Amino acid sequence: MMLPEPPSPLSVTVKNLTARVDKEQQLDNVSFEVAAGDTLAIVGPVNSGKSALMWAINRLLDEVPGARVEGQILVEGIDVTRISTRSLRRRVGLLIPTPLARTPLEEIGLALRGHSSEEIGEETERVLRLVGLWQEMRGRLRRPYDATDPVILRLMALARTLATSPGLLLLDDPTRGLDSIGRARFEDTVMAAMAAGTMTLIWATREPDQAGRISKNMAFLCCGKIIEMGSTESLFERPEDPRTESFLTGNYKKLLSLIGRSSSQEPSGGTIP
Amino acid sequence: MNEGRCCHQLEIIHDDILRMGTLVEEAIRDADRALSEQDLELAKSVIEGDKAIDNLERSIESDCIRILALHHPLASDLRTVTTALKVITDLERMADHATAIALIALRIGANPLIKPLVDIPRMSTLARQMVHESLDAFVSRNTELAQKVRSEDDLIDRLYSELHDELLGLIIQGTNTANAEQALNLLFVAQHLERIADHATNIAERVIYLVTGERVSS
Repeated sequence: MMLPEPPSPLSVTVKNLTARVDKEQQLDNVSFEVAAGDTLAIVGPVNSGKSALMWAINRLLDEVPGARVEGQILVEGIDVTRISTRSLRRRVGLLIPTPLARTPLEEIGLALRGHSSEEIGEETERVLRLVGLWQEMRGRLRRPYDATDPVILRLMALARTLATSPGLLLLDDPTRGLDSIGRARFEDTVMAAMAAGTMTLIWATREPDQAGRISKNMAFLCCGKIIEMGSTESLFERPEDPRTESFLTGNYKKLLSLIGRSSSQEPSGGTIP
Repeated sequence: MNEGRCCHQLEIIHDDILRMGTLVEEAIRDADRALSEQDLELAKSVIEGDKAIDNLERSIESDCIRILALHHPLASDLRTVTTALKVITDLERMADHATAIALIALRIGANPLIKPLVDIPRMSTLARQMVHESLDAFVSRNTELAQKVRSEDDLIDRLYSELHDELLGLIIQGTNTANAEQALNLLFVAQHLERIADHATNIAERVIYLVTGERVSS
């Protein structure tokens, strides 16, 4: 089955999603909906299942050895397992913050395999303008860009992801490790890209304040479960669950005791590479 | 009670609010006594003491701003800081009303009182009780006590209305200007007490918000 073509934003419904990688539970009965064109922030600590959720939605998780996914993910009402991964991933874009090629033109070309070089050239200009890199890169599209600059790298990865005109954008902690200026630039860039109304956005972050800036709605994910979901404002002001409360107030000892881990135990780190 | 990252700083704010509350309660009590016992020295000390309360308010406000700026508090921490900012404003206003009562005590001076003060001390006692209970509710996060304060405000309003009519009668019927002036001053005192009770009610309502996240207003 086929998903609606651009410029339609895509709705997502996740129903009772449970995922394991080998024996480790990554997601535990996760359900939520995001209407077409809306934004949802998934907020959670390290190792809470944010990556697994993002990977599950565009079916990358299916390719992780030892992974088992149960439940249902519907994009525009269509079960994602009924869509070829190629066309799914064209319309459901997951940002992978690594350089995949050396030059800007190659990066964008990777997302547009099968397109003519003229089309790739046009699309490169469009998406580099969209992410605010066009001015500095226009004369150097065939030269290696500075992928050691973490901000440039993320913006290039964002441009690559936007090159297929996704109707659903998945961001998995995309500003990890950036300073406040880089974070603000990335957030502003995504918000500007969202303004066209052609995308739905799910943005996973470990930083609550980022959720406050980018999304009116949020879900708190912890231990693979959605603990609480609602407007970001109401969760920030009066969370109902003590786990949300302890996460938001930075009370890690209480959070660890509530989820049944001792504070001496370091998080094991996600199993998703 | 808060247990998160801002815990220690919030405890300092909490303790300072209690210190401020104690000073305000004393100011109201002393202003009332200065008036009914015509103790002018005590009235002066109430006016003098207002500075310390103002300073404490500024210092607590600075602490709250610092927490907001440095820690971006959320959830119960956020509610505690915003509540603190509101509560200190109410406390500071109460102290201003106590000062105003002390000033009236000075204005009446040693002139004989036109009538023995009965209703004003009653109002004052109830207002002080409300202040005390609202602070107790704040300390113990006690919403039931906060609700009690809210209901007591109706009683204060009734006392004020009765006193208002009585004093107004004295002003209208009186032939003696000095008596009319004193009746007017006592009417102002009653009004200040009524406002103090309103501020105590505000604090009680903030306690309900602090505990439940629900904003209530009278």
